[in-house]
Parts: sequence; C-alpha cells; structure tokens
Amino acid sequence: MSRHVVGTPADVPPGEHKVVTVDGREIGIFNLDGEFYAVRNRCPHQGGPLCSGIRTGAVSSPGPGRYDYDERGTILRCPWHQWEFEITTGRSWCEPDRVRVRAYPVSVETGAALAAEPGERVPGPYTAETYPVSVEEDYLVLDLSGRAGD
Amino acid sequence: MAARRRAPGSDLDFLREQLLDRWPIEYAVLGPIVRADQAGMRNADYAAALCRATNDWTAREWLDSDPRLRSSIVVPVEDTAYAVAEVERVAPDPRFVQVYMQIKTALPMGNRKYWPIYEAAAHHGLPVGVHFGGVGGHPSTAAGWASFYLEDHAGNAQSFQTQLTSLVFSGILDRLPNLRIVLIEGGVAWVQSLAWRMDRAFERMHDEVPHLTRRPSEYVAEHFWFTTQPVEEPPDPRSLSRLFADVPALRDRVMYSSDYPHWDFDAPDQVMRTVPMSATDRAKMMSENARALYRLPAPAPADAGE
Amino acid sequence: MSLQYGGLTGNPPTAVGWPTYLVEEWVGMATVAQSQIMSMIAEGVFDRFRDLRAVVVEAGFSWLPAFLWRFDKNWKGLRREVPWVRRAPSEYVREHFRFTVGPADLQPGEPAALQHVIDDMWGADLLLFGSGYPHDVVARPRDAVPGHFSDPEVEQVMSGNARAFYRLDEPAGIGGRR
Repeated sequence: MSRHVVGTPADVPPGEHKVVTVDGREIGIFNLDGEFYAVRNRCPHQGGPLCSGIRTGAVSSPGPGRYDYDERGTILRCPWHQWEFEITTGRSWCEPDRVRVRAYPVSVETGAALAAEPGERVPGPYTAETYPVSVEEDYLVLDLSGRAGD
Repeated sequence: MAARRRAPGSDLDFLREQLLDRWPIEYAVLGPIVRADQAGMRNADYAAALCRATNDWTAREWLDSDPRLRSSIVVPVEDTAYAVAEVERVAPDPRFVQVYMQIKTALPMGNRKYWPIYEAAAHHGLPVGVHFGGVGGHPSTAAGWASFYLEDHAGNAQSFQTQLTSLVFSGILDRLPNLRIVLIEGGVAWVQSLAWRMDRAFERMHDEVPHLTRRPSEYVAEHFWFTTQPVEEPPDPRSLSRLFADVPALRDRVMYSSDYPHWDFDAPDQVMRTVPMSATDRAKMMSENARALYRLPAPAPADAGE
Repeated sequence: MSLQYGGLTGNPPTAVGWPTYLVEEWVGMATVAQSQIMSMIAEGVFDRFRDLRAVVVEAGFSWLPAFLWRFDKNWKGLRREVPWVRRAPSEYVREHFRFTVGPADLQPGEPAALQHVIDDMWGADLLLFGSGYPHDVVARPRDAVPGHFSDPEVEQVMSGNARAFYRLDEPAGIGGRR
C-alpha cells in the first residue's frame, strides 16, 4: 500500500512545488517543466526543511574563474547550511554517492486508471481534503516504495 | 493574512516562531551586529551613539518583551573611553550578560589599548563575547586579501586563533584572573593544536614574555569558552569525541549556539547529533555551561506555587 | 613549491593587525600557512596545474585536521562560489601538500592525543623530516618524529615520503627528467 494520490497536476504548476504529508513523512512534489519529482522535506545533513530552500540551477566550471549556470530549477539548496541536492535524483552535489535525500517517483495517471486499481492505491491526503477521484481527471501519484534516481 | 514580517533577526514574533517556540529554548542570548568597528569608527562620536541606541533599543524592543531573552552590550571597541563608558552605563541591567566585540579588530585583542574594556567587563563580572566578523581595516587573511567568501568565512577561524594567541601572551589574563572570553562562531577543534603550539613557542621564547606565570595552555583551559556553530565536521564524528576526551576542559567550555538567522544555522536538536557523547556532556553543552557562565537561573519547578 | 616560514609582504602577519611579540608571530605562522592553503585551493591553482605540489615548511602540522574539517564544511555550503573546486578541499591537500615535522608543534607528553591528530590526517603519509637548520635546529633527527611512531612510520617520515615526493630516486641530469 504505497501509492498515494497527492493532487492533480494543476496543483503544482511548472517551477512550483507543494509539500504533502504522507504516512507521517513530509514530501515535496516538484514540477520541472511538466515532469514531476518528489523528495523528502528533510535534509540528510541536519534535518533542515529542504523543500523550503532556494530552488536554483547547477553551477559548474570548465576551469578557474569560469562559471556555467544551467539546468535551472533542478537544484534545491537547503535553507540551513546551503548544501545542494538534485531534485530529480536526491543526490547531493558535495557527496553524491554518500549523501542523498530520499527521492520518490511521481506519475501522472488518469482517474479512470486509478479507479480500476482500488486495492493498491491509497487515496492519501488528497481525498482527505474531500476531493474525490473522478475518472475524467489526471492525478499525481506518489510511490513511496519506489526510488527515483537510482 | 498575517502582518508583514520584518527580516529574520529583526522581528520578535518571527524569532519566536522560527526558533524560540519551535524548540524548548530556555534562554537565548542576542548578539547584535553593529557597524561600530574600525569601519564605523572613523567617526567615534557616531559609533558611540549607534552603540548606545542599539543597547537601548535591544532592552526596550526585545528584552522587555520576552523573558527568555538576554543580550550582549555592544561597544565602539576602537574608542576605549567610549566603550568603557557604555559598559558602565548598561552593565547594571542584569539582562545584558556579556560585553560584545567582533573578531576583526584594528589591533590584536591582547593589545593594551583594549585592556580598559576587559577591566570594565571583569569588574562587572561579565564575560567578553567575541563574534565572527567585523572590519578591522586589515586584509581578510594573514596572507592578504582573499578573493572568495569561502576563504573569508573559513578564514575567520584563523583570526580567532590569532586573537586567542594575542590575549594569552599579552599578560591580561594574569592581570584579570576572572576575565572570561567567549569565542563565538569561530570553531572549536583547533584549540588543541594551538595550545600545543603556544606551549612549544613559550618553552623557547619565554624570555620575551616574562610576565606570563603559567604555560599558555593553562590560560586557555581557564579563560576561554567556545560555541558550537559552525562546529568542525570531521568525516568520522568520533574524531570530535576523541578531541573532547583529549582536551577535557572543553566539556565545561563548549556551548550551543544557533547563528540564527544566518545561512548556516544549526538546530539545537541536530547539532553534533552524530558525535558520540555522554548525556551529561550533552546537557553541559546545550545548557549547563551557558547557565554557569552567564549566571542564568535554573528553571523554576513546575509547581512553584503559582 | 616550498612554503617556508617567514617573509614580509607589507601586510600585518595576522588578519587582525600587527602583534606585539615575536612569539605571537611564531605561533601565528600556522594561520598564515592555513590562509595560503585555502587560497591556493579556492583559486583553482591545482585545477590549472594538476601536477603542482607544495611543502609547508616550519609551520607545524597538528592544526591540519581541524582546519580541513572546517574548510570542507564551508566548501559543502559555498562551493558554487568556486565551482572549479570539484572535490572537497581535504582531497586536494592529501594529494598536493606535504608538511615538515621539525621544528613543530608537538607535545611529547601527549602521544595519545597526537596520535589522534595523525589518525585524522591519513597517518604519516604527508609528513617529511625537516631539520630547521640553521635556525631552530633539531639536535637528533629522531627527536623531530613523534616518539611513539613505529619503525615503518619513522622510515616514512625520515626517508620514504621525501624520496617519493621529491622523486629522489630518478636519474640525475638537468633536462634528463621525464
């Protein structure tokens, strides 16, 4: 029982995010140019509220004194110590293999498809806000058992 | 809609929401950062007025409004007469628990120019808190101007080492046996190596500083306190446990600090969380060392007849 | 490159002004060395000159672990300011720097604490014997090495590390190298 409906795509416009609480865990759902990603709202360093950090791009360099800034909006910087994390994978910039925030897959599914699998999907906070899932709409489904970025 | 907030660190309600109420914080010692250092001291009258105004404002807007708050007396450090006068003026208010300086001074802190400030602090039983930052008028490192904030920030730790060295060799600690210095936001782990190095230097060059009656490391153990943020983070957290075992004085000398509202804030339930340490030592670091140093009353029993 | 104790630049030898006593300056040379290591790494010197190596001479070494813990920590939060620094600063130090042991900030009375410091800086790998001649001379070379070191560690510090670092075993002759 690890798939949760957490909203509709319209709840999280491109460039925005929203934090949901699922199974006691705060998780940020991010929209990157129409693709949805989810990371835990808890920095692996000291537990800072990662999802309220500045969302920025990747700063890299081909050599001393030169700066490249791209992949805008894909990096999340923790508000407590400014460690950077990739939203798509949860990997930290400073120690990508060792320090990661848990990242989860998010899919967009039709209400019709969701209605067809009632045994597996947990409605989650979305229906708790009294939004019934209707077959005509699309929904964001967060998979807590999955791992994004591996 | 909530009322529009002022910037973090200048809004008491926001401070309560983000820090004081969010964690079980008994006391918070404020550290106002005022441009009354060398950069602001070209006009000493102005710097002194700025410090007086800041201390008055702190008392009225902050200390009067929340019983958990204490603060630090800001003084125009480069004009000793003004600085002493401000300590004398504010020290009778017990909510001000230390005299406040910033680490970047115009001369190393052991210089006799500053001694009257220390005498005034010691006279009132107040520690001298020395915080990261300031402008002393010198390049940001001992090897000249650095290009990057990264160097400036990490390099502040070296200024703390320099100031400790200067204070120890100056002789002020013999003159004022109850002077206590709190090094704030400068790190902790370097103190062992520095004490060794000073002792080694003293063995060879004690003729130059005959006024010292003890080895430098003994002054360090007795007169200096340290705060956690931004504590060094070794790859193996046990390195810090070993350091605390090797320098036992640190158990009584290290105090939690938040650095709120700056970019590298440490939460009280997270700082040094991975460093193995006894519950007693952790309680000292989080509460008791500061309670003793700043003479903060223990919490009243819950059923104290109210 | 050798970064040797001393020199005058016109700036005070500390970041907070001119000290009163020579002994402060002697102690403070460790902070000058820390500033120089920070600068060389932050400016990308070793990213531009990947084979460059440097020896810190007569400024001690026991400050290295604490310095690197802080420098690495700051790099994790601020590295986008110097994105050419792609690895933690400590990794640059391990690869590019060596330190002489004599005269240094050793306290013979605290071998356990000293060993903890050495454990925190990759053992004896970065240490080279330095005599201090003709200034602060170490009378017996063995005295420059921590008393509790094992024979292999003594051999490293007295010989092996310098042989490798200075490539002393390569054939002689100007222009003959490489």
